[in-house]
Amino acid sequence: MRLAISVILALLAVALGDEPAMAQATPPAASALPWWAWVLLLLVVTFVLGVVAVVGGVGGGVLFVPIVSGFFPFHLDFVRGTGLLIALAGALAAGPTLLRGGIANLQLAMPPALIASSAAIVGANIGLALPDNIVQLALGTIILGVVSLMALARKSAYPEVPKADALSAALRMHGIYHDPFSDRDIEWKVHRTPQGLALFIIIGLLAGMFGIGAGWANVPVLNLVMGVPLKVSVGTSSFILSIVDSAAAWVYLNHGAMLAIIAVPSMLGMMLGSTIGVGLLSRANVAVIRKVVIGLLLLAGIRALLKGFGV
Amino acid sequence: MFKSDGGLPGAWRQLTTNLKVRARLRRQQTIKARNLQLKYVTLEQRAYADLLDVGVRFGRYFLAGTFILYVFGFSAPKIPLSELPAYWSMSAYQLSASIGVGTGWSWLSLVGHGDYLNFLGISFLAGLTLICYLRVLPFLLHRKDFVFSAILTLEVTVLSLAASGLLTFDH
Repeated sequence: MRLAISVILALLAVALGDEPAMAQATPPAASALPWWAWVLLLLVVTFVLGVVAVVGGVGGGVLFVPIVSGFFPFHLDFVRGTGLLIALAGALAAGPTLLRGGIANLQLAMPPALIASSAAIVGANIGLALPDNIVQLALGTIILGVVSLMALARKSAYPEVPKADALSAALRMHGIYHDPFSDRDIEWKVHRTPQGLALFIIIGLLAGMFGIGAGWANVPVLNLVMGVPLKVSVGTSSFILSIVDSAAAWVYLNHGAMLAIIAVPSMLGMMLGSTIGVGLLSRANVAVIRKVVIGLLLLAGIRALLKGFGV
Repeated sequence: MFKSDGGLPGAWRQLTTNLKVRARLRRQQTIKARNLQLKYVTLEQRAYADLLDVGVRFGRYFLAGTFILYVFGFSAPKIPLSELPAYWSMSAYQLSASIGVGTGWSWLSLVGHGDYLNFLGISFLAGLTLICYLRVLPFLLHRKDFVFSAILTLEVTVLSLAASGLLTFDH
């Protein structure tokens, strides 16, 4: 957090002072605002998104991509690349705690992560090859799909799994974790593994194409389809996301679809916002924030559709 | 704080004893917590988490450091900051063509520039999962867990191919 604040202060200092001597004075062609104003605005927006994402229980990438591509002058390629980095940074930062606490499970994560990361590479290449308006239209549709999923999908804290299927037994996708609230050990096993793994192909493709992370889809598949307890689903989803987004982020990086001036402030703003968000979690009205998130996504989804139609 | 009747030497003895007792207690608590974690978490998962923890900390500071060098102009950028608004609305392909950067790892030749220097931190974070997976592999091989060793090797191959740029197709 101190790190993020120091970088933000550095940016403010640059904004208020003179530009570095190396920068040649060429008039900007694409925007009325100076570069630093957009970067500061990006910091503020990603900070707010970081707070809202944590309290609303969604990943940063799914909010970042539609909102920033809809309302900032950055090309969708750079926004998607940054969206992946934001989701990746959040997942990597949460990883050690989740893994040590047994909330994320390596054995449960490895098979879906392999499938989804392979699909994400294909998805990223498709996404970068498609015309912008098609990507915007598809992004708008996907975001509206995420909104319906968030509004309608029910979650099950401890799904009932009568019998583990043969594939999950062979892959030893089972475990035990300690729930500190109920102070008891909870054993879990998995069913419908082939269906779940097939869905991870679609999740990987979408994550790579749109740079929107994958937590919004990972959790329902692990929890509702495969019968993993909600806490382990959330933790393992974050871990899977770190692998899937790594694979896709390399494709964007190798395509040159990254700009440091967009990526780094966004990551820092989101990290700072998430830290504040975690602190607010116990005091904020989660139901209201969740409605705000749904509203924001609805707005961003419609905006993406309109951009796709050239409106 | 100290109940010592032996003057200064007595107080010193009391202080060192207190410190030793506290250190022993901390060690016992750490071992107890570790044993409790091992009940729920495998050794390889623990090793993955430990390496990831160190990597994330390093990556975060490295990224912030290179970004400060960039925005303060300590390292001259390839695209001057004032010209960025003319470039960030271009597609990745148009940008690469206009500044003469190819696909794949060709950005590496530009790390002398502040903006591309940041790519080192970004690629480190993107490659961290790969490094952590390699840390886990010896545990699985030692346990003769060939199914998961195969899955892990495949994942390492997929991530390495993604990182290599071989799976990056020109459009």
